[in-house]
Amino acid sequence: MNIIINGEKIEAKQGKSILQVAREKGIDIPALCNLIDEKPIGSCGLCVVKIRKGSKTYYSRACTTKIDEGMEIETHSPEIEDTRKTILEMIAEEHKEIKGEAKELFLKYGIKLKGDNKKAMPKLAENPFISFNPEACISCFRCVQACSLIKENHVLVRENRGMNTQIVAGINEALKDAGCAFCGACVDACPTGALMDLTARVEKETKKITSICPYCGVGCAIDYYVSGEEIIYAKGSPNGVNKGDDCIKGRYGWQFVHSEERLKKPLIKKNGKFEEVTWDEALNYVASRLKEIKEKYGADSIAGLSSAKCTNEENYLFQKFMRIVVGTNNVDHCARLCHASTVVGLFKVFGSGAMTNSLEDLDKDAELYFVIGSNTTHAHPVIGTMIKRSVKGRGAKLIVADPRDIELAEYSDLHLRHRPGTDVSLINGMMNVIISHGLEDREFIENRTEGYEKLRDVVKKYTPEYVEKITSVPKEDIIKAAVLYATHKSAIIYAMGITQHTSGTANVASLANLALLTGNVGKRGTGVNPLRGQNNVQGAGDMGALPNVLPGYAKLGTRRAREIEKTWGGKIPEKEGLTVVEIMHAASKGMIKGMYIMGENPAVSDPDQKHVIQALKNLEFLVVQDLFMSETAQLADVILPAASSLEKEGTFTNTERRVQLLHRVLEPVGDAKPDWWIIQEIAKRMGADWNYKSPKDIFEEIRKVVPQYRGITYERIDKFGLQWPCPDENHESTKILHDDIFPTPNGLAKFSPYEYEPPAEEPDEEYPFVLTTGRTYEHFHTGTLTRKIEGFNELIPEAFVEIHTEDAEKLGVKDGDCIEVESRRGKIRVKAKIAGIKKGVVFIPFHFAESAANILTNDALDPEAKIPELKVAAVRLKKCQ
Amino acid sequence: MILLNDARNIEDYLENGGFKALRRALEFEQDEIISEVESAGLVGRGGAAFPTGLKMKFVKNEKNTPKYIIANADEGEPGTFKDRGLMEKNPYQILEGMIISAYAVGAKKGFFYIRYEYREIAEKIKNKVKELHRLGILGNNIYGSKFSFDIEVVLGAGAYICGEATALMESIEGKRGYPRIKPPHSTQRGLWGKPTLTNNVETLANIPVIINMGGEKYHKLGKEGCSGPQLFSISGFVKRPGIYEYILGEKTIGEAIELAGGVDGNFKGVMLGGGASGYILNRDYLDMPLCFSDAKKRGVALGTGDIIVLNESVRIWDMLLNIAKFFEHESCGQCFPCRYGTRRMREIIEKIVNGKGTSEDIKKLNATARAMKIASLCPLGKSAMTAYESAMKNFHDELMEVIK
Amino acid sequence: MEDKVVEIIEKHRKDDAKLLAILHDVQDEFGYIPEDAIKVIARELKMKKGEIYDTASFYSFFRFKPEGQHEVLVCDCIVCHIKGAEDIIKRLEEEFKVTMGETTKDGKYTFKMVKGLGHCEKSPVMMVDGKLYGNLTPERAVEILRRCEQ
Repeated sequence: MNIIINGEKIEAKQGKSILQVAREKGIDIPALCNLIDEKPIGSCGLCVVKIRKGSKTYYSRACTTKIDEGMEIETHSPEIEDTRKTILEMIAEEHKEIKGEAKELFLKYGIKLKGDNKKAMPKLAENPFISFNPEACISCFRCVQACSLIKENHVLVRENRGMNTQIVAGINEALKDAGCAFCGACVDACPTGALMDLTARVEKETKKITSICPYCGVGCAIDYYVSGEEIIYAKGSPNGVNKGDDCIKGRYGWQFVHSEERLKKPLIKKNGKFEEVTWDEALNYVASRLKEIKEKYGADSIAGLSSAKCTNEENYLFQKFMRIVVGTNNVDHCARLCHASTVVGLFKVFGSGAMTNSLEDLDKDAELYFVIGSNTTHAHPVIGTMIKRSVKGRGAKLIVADPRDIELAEYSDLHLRHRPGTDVSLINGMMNVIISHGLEDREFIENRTEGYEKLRDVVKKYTPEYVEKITSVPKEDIIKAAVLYATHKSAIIYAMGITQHTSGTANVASLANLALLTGNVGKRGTGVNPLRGQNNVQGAGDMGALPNVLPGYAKLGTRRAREIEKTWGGKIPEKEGLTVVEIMHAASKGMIKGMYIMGENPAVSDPDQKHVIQALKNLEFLVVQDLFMSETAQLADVILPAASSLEKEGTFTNTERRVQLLHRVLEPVGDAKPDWWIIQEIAKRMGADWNYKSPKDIFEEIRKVVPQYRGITYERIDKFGLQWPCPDENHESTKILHDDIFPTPNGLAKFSPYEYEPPAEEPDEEYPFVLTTGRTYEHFHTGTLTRKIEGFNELIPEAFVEIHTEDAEKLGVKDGDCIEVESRRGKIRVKAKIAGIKKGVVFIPFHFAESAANILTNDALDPEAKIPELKVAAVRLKKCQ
Repeated sequence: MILLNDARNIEDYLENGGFKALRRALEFEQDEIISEVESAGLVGRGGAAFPTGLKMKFVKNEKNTPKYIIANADEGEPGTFKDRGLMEKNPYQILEGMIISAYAVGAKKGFFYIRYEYREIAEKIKNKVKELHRLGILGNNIYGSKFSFDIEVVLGAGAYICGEATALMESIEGKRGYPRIKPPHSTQRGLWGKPTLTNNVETLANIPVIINMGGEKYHKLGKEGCSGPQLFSISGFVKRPGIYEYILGEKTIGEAIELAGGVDGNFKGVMLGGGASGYILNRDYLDMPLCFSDAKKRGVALGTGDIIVLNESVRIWDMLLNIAKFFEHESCGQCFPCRYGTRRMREIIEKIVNGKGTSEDIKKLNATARAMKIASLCPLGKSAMTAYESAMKNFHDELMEVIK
Repeated sequence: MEDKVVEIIEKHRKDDAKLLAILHDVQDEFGYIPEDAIKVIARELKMKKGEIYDTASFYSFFRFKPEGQHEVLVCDCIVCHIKGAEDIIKRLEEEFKVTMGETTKDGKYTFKMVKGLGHCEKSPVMMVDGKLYGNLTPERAVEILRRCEQ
């Protein structure tokens, strides 16, 4: 398309706005309200230009006007510049204290701010993270656009009209009461500095360092702005999987690194009290005690808990240490508590235990999301936003299966509130409908799978009527869900609501069956997509921090194991080790004597807390390596202060198998050291001849041992990570698994049907409620990090129990009253929160050690994956006396 | 009388030939109806005077469905009250025109949007819609034809801007009444993104008239450049203020004032067109025929057809301040030029009214007017200075007298 | 209250243009639009409460706080203005010790200035609880309101 701008002939693509084309050509047209080029709102009027088209001459906004063949455009004629000046002068008469982008514009046009009427502070300003200056706010609506169009949160809105238009949160409430996600998109959008991060300040020298967020498995890249050794603010980086998005934890959750409570010196418990010691003393002591126990009771009397919060390099080194320095396979990590069943279940059906698709294709191409057992907007907020945006922005469909009215349910086409623990029945029911309606993908079944007949036979009895009885989901909804799922390009997204059950493996395998049945595997926008809870769950598993497999999921005692032994120069024991819960059982029985825990907090995170604490107390020697004096650390004999992930290098592997490089943002606080350094120093003192100079040295060894990582180098992932499998250095990385064949012996996927088995503990007369547990949006895991941050505690200060209004009424309990929740294992007191949840079900977040949900939970295990049933426990409730 | 007949109940309306036009129209092809309207030369009575037939043709030719039709009864211009009178006296003729128009463009659903201040009328229209349902004149298979049509009455909630068609659509959709960015035009993408025909209620009341008498004959009512009857709201300092119906072009402003009983006091001028966004004119305009083309020739417009008569007690700056306050109150605030411009306009005029105006202020006022015209998003901002500018021309000496 | 709001929503469930209609009915029911009602509407219509407030607060006749027993709308449009609306407003403000936009101390009247009631043939006018009074003088305006006290 040919147009003329200011006398110059320009060729440009159809569909672009004048503003876009002009800016591409370096013509500086001012604009204060435009945020999304495709959805201009045309408020400020500053970008107005003069257009001649045919015989017509008119004025129009450059942002809202698409270029058209033959247009002649003037961008800076005198009357246009006068108009701009007049608009800016009028703003200047009403405002002061304007900063940022807008200030530059006032300077350029030589206009002084002289507004003098004091503006009232709206309630939204009452919050711990974002400041608001009403004098600077010009109601350009960029923040409103960011909150609605980019984030689909609709928290920031407009109040009143005309000159009285102002930005408020919700019904003119404080941000947190209005449901703010504190993602900071509004702050980033604001052109006047009216909205700012509270911690932000003007510094002469700030550097921007991009690293990976320390929280969930999405693996967002975050730009940290640092002055000296202090982070002053942070925001989602445009150069990561998150493409500029972030959440409260990514944006403000770094504040724990500057906490006063960080461990800064190694500590040894002497006479029941921790005393600061030198690194040498601490390391020597740890090495000698471990050696002593090994000699006295054998290597299998020692167990190690590695960590999904540590880097790949550290997990690799930790399991290597346990296996060839200590000499045991008793190594596991918290993935046991979250996705052990994923690995087993998906492996069984697909031959690989990882998320099949990528965020990018799910974002762009999924026609339907089936979200089951995942409170996505809270636990994986950036993916939650992606789903909301796809639903609202491009009309994708959404089915939510969850007993709670989670936020995504609001956006869903269908919300199935099934009874906790009845997932297999629900999924079998959907498959039953798909087969009876003839909606299965015959070609896919024929060419890519085996075992279909067996599946058909198993699901036969799961008619909608039968399933309604088990799940309490109306049969019409089951049919609707099945038909919707089968007739779209559908992606399954799940998390702990599926995995943390005695039927966890069965749940996962059933979802995989469902995907196979409809051919929703190996294509863009489909697949079975487990969302990983910790930043490096995927990596910790890949690195073999598991009792039954070695790095790269090599089985013990196989040819691959022997190859690894060669690289390591040591013998790997062939006997499978114990899993997390088994380790605790063994410890309480006195069979495990020594334990090395790196970056985990089992005293709060594991089921049946009383039992776990008793097990840890029963140990002869416990060494804990952490950032903080966690509940577990308090029970230790030695505490080793570790550097946080913002203080070191290494790699994390995110939920979509993307290996991402950390860049050190700060130096470690005090005498804290990176975990890899600590492990190596202990190993050396126990006789190992290790000499890794940096995480990169370790990664080079990982590349040799783990075939999926072979093609990945630090250089290749310096800016943006690669997705495994990546077999060689020319490989582009794998976006979608199973597009051609499945990694099974015969290349076919294997239908693995399961019958519905009820949960280990069902409600009865004595314990009539079902307790389910999980996360809140604001806090993370056992709160070790987020509860060190004042603002997070202000938002969610304490535990609560979500309860249906009718159940609350029956108990005579009002919102905010104290409730005593008791299971067969213990009882806690928490505040009641009347919420949208299925009748007969209650929910407690597990972040709070003082009212720990895991006092109540059941440690019954899934027989295959050994994952405990954290999502279903029978409890009884009463109003506190 | 063609429009302002008194037919408040269905019996009266039917007795006077009501719904004959509809029955006849249902036998026409859609295009035939539209070409009748086109040949009649009917233009919109809501202020913009856009050719009604052309608008219908645009909507009819859109492929996208469903299509909608809107009757705009958000009469908000101060000094305009003719739609109210028409709805009170002759509501069925509006509804009939709406049904015929819907049939012509292929709309199955219509919205009758009435301003909050006319709440009682909205209740009445709702009842009449129910009544027409009972009589088979609304709903499925109207008069046994294949055409089905329904009307939902929507009550506004106090926003002048919703008289603007796209702001009105936003309001129907349950949003704040912000005018939309054009293009796309609402005939193409209107309510919920679908082709939508929006007509003022008086415009709609003309449709049955055209069908009954035929476009050609209707066209002959009036003179070149303006056809048919039009309602005029005559108020201010006249002896018999009220709604008057004249064939366009037949009367001059002066004659219309005389027919309304003449001036109450000594004549000073009139405000013509759409109330706040109308023109302030002096006695030179008394001989101007009430006709679109005559108005255009003299650089003004009939707008919504109101004539506010001013006598010598009226001070022009004081009037302009009232108008400025009106716009400050009614600016939707979506765009900066209008949001800040209406505020500034009020502040400067207030200063002048308080005797502190300087020539600098006049310069500033003029610059504001220019910026608002160039950069406002919708007609509200673009026309907010019409009264000031016309007054400056017609009452220049009086206005400049107080400026230091 | 929740039940009542849900009942209102159900009444309009089939309407295409439902939000304004629901808000009107809620205001008629409670005299204003309570925050809790907005929350119920949001839940039922699958919208965010802020979206509803964004719309509602735009329109001058929706109110979010309880008001006086009687709503008095005094017109100050251009026609009423030139015909003496200012004197009426001044007199009412003195007589009832309020400024426009306020509610009298006894909670009886809420006064609002509006810009166009659409009855200019009777200017100056005011509207009390939906009923129109025209050809006012300051004295008559006071008298009408005093009468409605009884």
